[in-house]
Amino acid sequence: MVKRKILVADEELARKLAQIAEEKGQTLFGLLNDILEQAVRAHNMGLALKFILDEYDRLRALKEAGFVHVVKGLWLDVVDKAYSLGDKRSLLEKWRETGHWYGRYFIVKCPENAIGGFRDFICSLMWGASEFVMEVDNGEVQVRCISTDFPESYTKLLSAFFEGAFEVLGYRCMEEDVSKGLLRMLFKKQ
Amino acid sequence: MPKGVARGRKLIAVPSELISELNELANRDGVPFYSYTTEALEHVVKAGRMGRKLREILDFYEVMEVRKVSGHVIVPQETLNWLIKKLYSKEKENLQEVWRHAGRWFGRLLNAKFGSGAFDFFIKILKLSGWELGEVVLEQNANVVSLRLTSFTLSEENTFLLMCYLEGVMESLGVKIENKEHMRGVIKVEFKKNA
Repeated sequence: MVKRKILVADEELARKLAQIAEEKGQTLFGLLNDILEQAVRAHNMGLALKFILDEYDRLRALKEAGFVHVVKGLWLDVVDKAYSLGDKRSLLEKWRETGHWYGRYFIVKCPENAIGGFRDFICSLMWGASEFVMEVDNGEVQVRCISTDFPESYTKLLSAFFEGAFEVLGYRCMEEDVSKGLLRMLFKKQ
Repeated sequence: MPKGVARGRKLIAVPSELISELNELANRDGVPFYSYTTEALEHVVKAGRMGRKLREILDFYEVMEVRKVSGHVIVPQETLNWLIKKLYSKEKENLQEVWRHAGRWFGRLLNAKFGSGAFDFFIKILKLSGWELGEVVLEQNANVVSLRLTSFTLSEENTFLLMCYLEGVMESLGVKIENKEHMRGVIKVEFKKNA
C-alpha cells in the first residue's frame, strides 16, 4: 500500500480533475499521481509546465499549417542542389507561391491581426537561424536573418517567400539586401 | 467539511513521497506549496482539454527538443515533397546517400546522448512523430526486430528516402538489417539487434 498524504485543492479544480479521471477511466488518485510525477519531471528539465504546454500548442499549430521536421543539412542540401541544377526561376516562383499561401492562411486564421499572427508563426519557425528578427512597427516591417550555414540559394528563396507572404498581407518590399547567410528586407504597407 | 479546510477547497489523497518532493521543489522556487500544486493541476486540466495526457505532452516535448538540438528544422511539407519529386528522377542515388548519411549522423548523435537507451529513444521519436507517420509498430522476436511504418501521405520517393534514413540510423545504432520491404507509404524492416 502506497503511503498517502492529503492535498488541499481548489474545489472547482478538484471537480474538473475528477471529471478528467472519469473520462480517462482512471482513479483520481492514479491521475494525481501521474500529474505530480510529470510536474517533478518538468521541474527537473528546468522548465515550467506552462512553457511545455505552450510549446506543445505551438507545434500543434505548425502541424496544422502543414509543416514537418527535417534534418537541416539535408534540407539545405536538397534546396541548394535543386537551385544549382539550373531551375532557379521555378524554385523562386515556388517559394513566392508558398509565401502567398501562408499570407492568405493568416488572413483567414487571424483576421484581426494577420501580420502579428504571421510574425509569431515565422519567429517560432526560424530556430535553424543564428539570428532572426521580424519587427512590425507603424506600417513597416523589418526582417533580418543571419545564419552562416544558409547557402546563397536558400537565402534568396527565403526572401522570395517573404515577398510572397507580405504581398498578400498588403506590404511592398522597399529595400532588400540578400547574400549568403544574410537577409535584410524592409516592407511598407500599401 | 473537514475542520480547518477553507470553503471552496477540497482534500485529495496523493502519494506521500511525491508530496515531499513537490514541497521541496516549491520551496526551492520560493512558491507557496498550495500555489505550486494548484498551477500543476490547472495545466492538467488544460492538457485534458487538448485531449492529451500530461505525460504524452512531456514525452512529445522531450522528442522535439532532441530534434531541435540535433539540427532539425521545420519546413513546409508541400515544398519539401515538391523539391524531392523534382530532384528524384535526376539525383535518385545522390539523394538516397544524403538521406542515409543524415540517418547515420542522427544515429551517432542518439548514441552519444542516450547510450544504451538510444534505440528505444529512436523508436519513441518515430512513434511521437505522428506528423509524418500514421502508424509505427515495433515487434521483437528473440533478437530479430521487425519495424513497420505506415503513412497515407508519404509519396513513393519519400518512402524510399525514409527507408534510407532508417537504414543510416540503425547502422549507427549497431542494428543489422536482415530483411526490408517498401512500397508507397509502407516500410517494413527486420533487423538483428546486437547485444
